[in-house]
Amino acid sequence: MSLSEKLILSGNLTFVGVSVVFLILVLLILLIQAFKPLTRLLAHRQTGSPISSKQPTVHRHAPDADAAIVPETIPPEHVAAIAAAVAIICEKEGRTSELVIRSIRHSKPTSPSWNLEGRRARLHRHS
Amino acid sequence: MWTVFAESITKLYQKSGIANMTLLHLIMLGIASLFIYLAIAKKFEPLLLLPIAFGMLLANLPLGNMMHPEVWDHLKELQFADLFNSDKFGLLDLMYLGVKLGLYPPLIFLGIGAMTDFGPLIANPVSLILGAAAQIGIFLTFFGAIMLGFSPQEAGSIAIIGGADGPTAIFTTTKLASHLLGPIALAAYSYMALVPVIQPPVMRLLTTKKERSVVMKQLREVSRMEKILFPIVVTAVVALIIPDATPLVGMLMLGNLFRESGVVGRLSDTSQNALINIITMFLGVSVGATASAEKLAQPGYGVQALKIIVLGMFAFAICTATGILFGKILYWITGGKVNPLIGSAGVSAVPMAARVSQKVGQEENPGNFLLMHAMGPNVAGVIGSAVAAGVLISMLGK
Repeated sequence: MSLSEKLILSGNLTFVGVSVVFLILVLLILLIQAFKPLTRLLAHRQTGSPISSKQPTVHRHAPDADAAIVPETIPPEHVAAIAAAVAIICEKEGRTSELVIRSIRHSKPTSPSWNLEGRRARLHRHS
Repeated sequence: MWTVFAESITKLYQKSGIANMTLLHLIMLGIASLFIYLAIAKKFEPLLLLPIAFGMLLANLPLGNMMHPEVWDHLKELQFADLFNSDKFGLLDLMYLGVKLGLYPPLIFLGIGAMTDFGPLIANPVSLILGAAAQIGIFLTFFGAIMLGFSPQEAGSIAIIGGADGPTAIFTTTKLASHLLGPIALAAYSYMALVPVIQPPVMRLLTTKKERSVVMKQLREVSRMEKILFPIVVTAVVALIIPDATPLVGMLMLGNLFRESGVVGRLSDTSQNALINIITMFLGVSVGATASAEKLAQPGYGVQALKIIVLGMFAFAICTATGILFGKILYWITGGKVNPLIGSAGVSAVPMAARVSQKVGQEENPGNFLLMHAMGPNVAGVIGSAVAAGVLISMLGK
């Protein structure tokens, strides 16, 4: 291949390739953005409650763990300790955005290996 | 009687591997031993490097008849009866069939999909832009490879190394330039292991202290319905636009659907454990076996392998840089709300690249937790590199 042929081929492939990759991923962004109202609509149809585009209001004080989904196997003392720890983090870091505990669950031994490793690394760093 | 005994010993010796050992075999055995050392002692991506290295070892022990590279170079001459003749078709040839048929990489993606949580990506879909940006380096590397004298198909196979995705690199190379599978697979997996070494200098060079210190807002919660819709929608969109990417993206999303549906726990568990481990073993050993002394004896092969290693490093660095640069663009557009470091996670070395973003971010601000924010671009990069592979196969394939 001559130099000009190589340049034309590379330029063409780069332009088309980058355009296609961006096109597909931007299309996916738009579709993912459409998930939110769609899932809200489906939830509204199931529960019959009014659709609200606002996020539920959160409280400034310690995170409300009562509304969190907690299996019965986790003792209430552990739930209280977790809520207290989160409150301390909020206070220490002076967070303006609120933290809400949505659910508490045991991490499974069959969790993906990098999830387990990430948690262990964080525990070791803070211990 | 002594003559008969001496003749038997001589015959046995002549048929041994020792008598048929050449300098090239010794070189390849030395390289294989080095990789085994790196895998075990230095823990250099051992899950892949150890089987690859041992496959290399097995294929370069003379007269072992484990692998016959000449069969794959002249496939049309292979007769059905040859499959049952171990002198012409060995154990590793059988395992290599899965690579040649394009079976192993999609099955590995099935397992990866079952292991991956796309929640951070769905919560922050702009991460997909960073996943796309990191693939620009693939196409720039194509240009470099063409200039160095590689054919378009070879250049495409080398360029995909920049995506830092082993199965994608193997899948693309099998379709475009299967004779380069050995060095490309080794380069791809080696650079994946070197992510914590190669990326940080590029990240520090392209960002300021202020940019690296940005703390990002907590991600929103993602509903189960969104996580179920995501793999279905992605599969449909990608398959309709780039059908050549369907095997990889389709299996990735199937694995993810197993995980997110919550109704096929056994299938999800098998995909992310037993299946991926079995395929990893077969893939690693058979790909390693393609790096044989016979190949090294071919004129120019050593120089070609060296060029591939250099181009692979270039591809990887450029992909990191383009991801960071788009991260800076997002930082500028959002008025400082996006930390540019997460752009480097757009290469699909999950989760190592995201961890590197976290680590470099914490060097500036110890209280900064970028890991989940970086996981978005990281998993987007898996999709992006599979799409880029589909584009290369579509445009360069025969």
